[in-house]
Amino acid sequence: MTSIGAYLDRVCHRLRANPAAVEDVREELRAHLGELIKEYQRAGVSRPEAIQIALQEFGEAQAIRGWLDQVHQGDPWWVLRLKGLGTGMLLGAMLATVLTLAAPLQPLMGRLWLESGGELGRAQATLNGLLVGGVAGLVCAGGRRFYAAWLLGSLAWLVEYLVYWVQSIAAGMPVPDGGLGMMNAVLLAPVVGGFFALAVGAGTAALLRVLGRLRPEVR
Amino acid sequence: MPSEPRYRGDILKGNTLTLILTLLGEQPMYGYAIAKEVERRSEGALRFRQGLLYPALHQLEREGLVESEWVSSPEGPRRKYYQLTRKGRREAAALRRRWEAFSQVVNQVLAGGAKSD
Repeated sequence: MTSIGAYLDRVCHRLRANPAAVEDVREELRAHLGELIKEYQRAGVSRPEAIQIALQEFGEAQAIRGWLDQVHQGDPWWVLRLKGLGTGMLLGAMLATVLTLAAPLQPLMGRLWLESGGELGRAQATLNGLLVGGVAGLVCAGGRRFYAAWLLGSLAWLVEYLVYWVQSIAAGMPVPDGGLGMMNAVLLAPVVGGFFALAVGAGTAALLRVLGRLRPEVR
Repeated sequence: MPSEPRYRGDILKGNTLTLILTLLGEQPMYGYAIAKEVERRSEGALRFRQGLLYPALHQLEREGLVESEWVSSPEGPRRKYYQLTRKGRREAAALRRRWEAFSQVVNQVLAGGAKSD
């Protein structure tokens, strides 16, 4: 028995369109299927049976996917991710460089705990810009599961850091790196935690596929 | 439960766009409503796999013949309404003229050919 979610996953699987368009397609088809199912239920069919009839009436997922793919003809999913990563890194690094070089912004930079003085400060700011920009770009180019994995990983990293921080204070030890440490933790959370979560998600997806429990790749 | 359609698949393939554009020429509609209206007007004789409406609608949108807009619905999830653009209206009229000319010729053949004077 096919569920609506699994059916829509098959329709949208690696559709060469930008993620927003894929979400749009998913929502549009889901709304249509919902109306078809209600129609059959009104005719006296049970919900599980109505779902199966509606999916059959809707058409073969692979065929719809193929036609949609031809129409949208976007980049493959991995090219989209790479584009997002590259664009984000470039923008992040440029922004960080401008911020550290612009003299009128120095007081603001100090308030944000970003070390801007000297070559080391600039290099660190640029690196942070590369990392955070890259993450932002990747997230912007990602799909729903991708966001979820990323968010969970980032939150896990932040919680872990906060626990460590609170434990240090409770034990009367000096706070690790003070505000700068916290700022770095926030900046690094999506990078370290997010990447870790993605690796785990992709591994799980691959394993489930091997076991025959169809799950598309983490997107 | 709907009855079995008399015409499905291939016979509809070439005419799907004409049907969609004609219906959208009357009022903005969403996918489910388009499918139901085709069924209703043909009394169930014409029916296509409803999922295949969307590649057609998206193609029309890419070609600038229709434009779409999400509209909230009091009855459930929001719906994506499509409506003809100016270019779409011209195309709909042209397709209709082409269809009428074609069906006239086919009718002529079926009736034994045009009368010579």
